[in-house]
Amino acid sequence: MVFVVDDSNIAEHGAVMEKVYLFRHKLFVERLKWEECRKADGREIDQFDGAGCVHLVRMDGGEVTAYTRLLPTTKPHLLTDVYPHLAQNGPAPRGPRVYEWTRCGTLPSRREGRAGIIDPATAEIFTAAAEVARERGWDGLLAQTHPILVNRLMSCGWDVEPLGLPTKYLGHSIVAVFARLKPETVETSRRFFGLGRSPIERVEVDAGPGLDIEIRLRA
Amino acid sequence: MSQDSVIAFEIVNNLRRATRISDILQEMRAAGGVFGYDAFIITNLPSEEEISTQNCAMVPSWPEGWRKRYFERDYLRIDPVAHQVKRTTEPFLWSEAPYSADDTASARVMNEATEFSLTQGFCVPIHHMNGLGGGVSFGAKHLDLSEAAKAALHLVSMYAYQRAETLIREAGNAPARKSPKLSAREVECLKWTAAGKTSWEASEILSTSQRTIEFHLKNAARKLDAVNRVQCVAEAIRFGIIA
Repeated sequence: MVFVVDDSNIAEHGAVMEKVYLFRHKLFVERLKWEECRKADGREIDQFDGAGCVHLVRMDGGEVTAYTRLLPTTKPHLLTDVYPHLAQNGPAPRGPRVYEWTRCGTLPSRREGRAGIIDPATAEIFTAAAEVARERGWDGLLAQTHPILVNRLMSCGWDVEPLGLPTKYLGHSIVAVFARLKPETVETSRRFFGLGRSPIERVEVDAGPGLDIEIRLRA
Repeated sequence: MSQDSVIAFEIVNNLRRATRISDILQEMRAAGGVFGYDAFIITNLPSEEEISTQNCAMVPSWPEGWRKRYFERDYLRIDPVAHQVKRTTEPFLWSEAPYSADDTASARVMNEATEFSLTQGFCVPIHHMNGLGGGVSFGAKHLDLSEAAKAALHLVSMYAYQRAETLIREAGNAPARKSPKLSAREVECLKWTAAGKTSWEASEILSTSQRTIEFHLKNAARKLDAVNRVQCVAEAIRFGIIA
């Protein structure tokens, strides 16, 4: 299940967040070689971590197996401060209902195998992002990613608008997009990944006035 | 913003709105005039078990003779460009798809393509679904793409592939084509063909002439809209006519 950590509950979840920072360092720095994010203490924290962030954490037996971070675009974010050159097609959308999808990853040993089976951890994190966006009434998510994941977003039912042409970064293509949430995005994502229900953990409900929180709490 | 990206965004907008495969075809042919390619294909790769590669192509806009030969002879299985798609997620020129000097099958595909004026090309792999993936490939007599043009075609390919895949999947969810009516004799001939018998062997088993067997198989193929015996058997199985 995916656990949501935001401003409303981050104070109580210091232990979870510690695991998150270590997981991020292991995955993005040690495995994927994002050297600019390397930290001496092995905790990957950047200038964008802070108030307003929404962390989606997938835990398995007390260990983090997949994670992503959604950043508010009302504050500086990666597309404004790190990759502005990726949005050649004019200014990217931002505002209280636009978040930026960053640091999305699954434990390397659990990533897609040769059989092309998508790991349940990846499936849950991808679907959880859509569920959180719907629940909080967001318009959509900005993302800077490899084009193959852009095709996956489209297959998951997002309406994906390109913000620029793909460019090369360290030998791999990267493209900036705005993935607009559609009424059917959550359902299409669940169907694409074969999930029967919401992957979001509902033990503690945050105050957000979600449309169907009650219904799903009973499920 | 470069000229290439302006054009790419325009094409992408049209592709996102495409409601028929013919819309995609038209849009991509028009783009060929801008980027300098003469022909293109949007295709998936065949799995090992697949009997025929015919159903892999989603939008095969190759020259007619080449398309026919390419799929009748299952070139998708030996084409070095198709092999390269399995190895990379980054776009590449056909000339960057390696094959060894003694690999005569690969060399044959590349050489025969030149008979149809497809000498140079560019390919964009797409790997987003479970399975083998596919891609979009562009060919021409002379293809000279700037880095910006390659990036533009990369973006266009992502959307062309996605739209074609979606339209085909949605059409597949529509009520299935009605199963064609085959005569008992045609079914019998197909069953023996599926069991690996030649038409001569089938004629011995059914105590008739080889010509009669071939006559029945030809009619069955016509009814099943199949181009050869292998596809004919595959279609008959798909429709549940034979087990």
